[in-house]
Amino acid sequence: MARQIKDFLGDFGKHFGIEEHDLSPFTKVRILHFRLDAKGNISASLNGRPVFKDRSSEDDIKDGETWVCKVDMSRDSYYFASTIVKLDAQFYFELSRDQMDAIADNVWERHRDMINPLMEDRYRAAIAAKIEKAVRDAELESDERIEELEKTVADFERKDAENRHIIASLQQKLERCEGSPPPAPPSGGLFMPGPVQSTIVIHRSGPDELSSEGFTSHRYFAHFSADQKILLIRPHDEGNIICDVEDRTIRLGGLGKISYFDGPENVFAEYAPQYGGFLMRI
Amino acid sequence: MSLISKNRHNRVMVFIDLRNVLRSVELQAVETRLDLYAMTKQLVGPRDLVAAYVFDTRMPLDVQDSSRRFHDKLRYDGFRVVAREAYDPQRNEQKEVDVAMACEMVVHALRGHYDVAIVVSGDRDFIPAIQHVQAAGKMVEVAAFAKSVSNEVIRSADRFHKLETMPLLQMYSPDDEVFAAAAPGTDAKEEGVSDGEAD
Repeated sequence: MARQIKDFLGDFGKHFGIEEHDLSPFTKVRILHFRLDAKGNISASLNGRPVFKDRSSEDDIKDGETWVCKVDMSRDSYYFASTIVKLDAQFYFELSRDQMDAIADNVWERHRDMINPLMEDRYRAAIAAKIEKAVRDAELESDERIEELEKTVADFERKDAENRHIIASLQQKLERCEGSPPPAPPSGGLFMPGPVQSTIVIHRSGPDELSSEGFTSHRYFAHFSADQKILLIRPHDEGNIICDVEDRTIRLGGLGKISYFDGPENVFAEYAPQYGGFLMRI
Repeated sequence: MSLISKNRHNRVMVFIDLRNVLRSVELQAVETRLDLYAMTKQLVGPRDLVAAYVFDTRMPLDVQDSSRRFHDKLRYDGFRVVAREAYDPQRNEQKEVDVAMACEMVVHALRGHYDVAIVVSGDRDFIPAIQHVQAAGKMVEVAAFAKSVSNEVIRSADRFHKLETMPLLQMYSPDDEVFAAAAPGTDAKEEGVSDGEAD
């Protein structure tokens, strides 16, 4: 490193037209930091001796400035320095890449023990912050994922409960159907030969149109509840709803207003003995 | 679940406050009518119907009254129509009807003509009559649309029937105006009541 510094200073000498062989044995190029001493003089210190500005040097040196100087070390108790260049911000900007590397290497070699712990602490803190942020992000992401999974599980459980309920209900109906014959309607025998189905499929083909294979009577009464949830279709000889026996279709005025029609659909209707007709949910 | 079970051998008498129950049927968008016949059949169920009273007002005989034919049709269907000549057209109010119905309920109860009275009205004016009927050892069921019945009436009754959950509103074929207009009881349709059917 000492060699590099020497080369660095040699480069300065060349840069400012000072060759090594131009210098006497007592003249050296040195970097000096000038301060205002107790007597009011601007001076630097080299090898424990004060260094004053040579009279021949024209540059004005101020307190706190650092200069590259040519130092006359021929005297024993003090030296004189002739300024070459001031080391300020502009100087550092004008340094070549190699020169900057040399300075950095020098600083690093001299202060490695002091810089190392600082850098380690700084990197350790930065890495710890990064790790903490990564952990926090991961936890947040995993929490969101867990929340989504919990919602999915809850949905599945709800659907499972609904399906179990539907299956149980259908099993009960099946058992009832297997155990007892379907009840017969109270009237409409002329147009309803044979046993009555307990459940029929009603096809809603239009807003007001219903058709079903179970519509075997010629006339029907149709009633709906005021809460517009159920519709009763009851065969009766005096019914005001005429059923076309060929296509087994009935038309109910206003059905599309109480139950919105969004396309053809099939609806199950059950025979309700207490009403003597088929009950469907609308 | 009710503590009181239905006995199919109970004798039932139905009392319908016509104007009160009609006021609750407000489905302007749909051409539909309240089917009193179906309503009575559904409320009574398998029990024995002793009598079904309909209480309403009517105009004097020399005044054109559209409800007269409807009353006749109800009588034809088996209802006992009690039409008081006490309608106030200026205030659009009926008089005497509530008291007439209350008297009928209490008198029949005290004479033991029925076991269960079904009151089709949400009017709380009937609460004293209901209590007297119950005091005579009879059961009282109230049937009304939930939006037009007071909680006091529901609490007074032994059983409450929500009419809005029962299929009572009769529908017609969309191209059947001629049929509907030609059918008996057309006048009644203008008042929101169906003449129903007779078995």
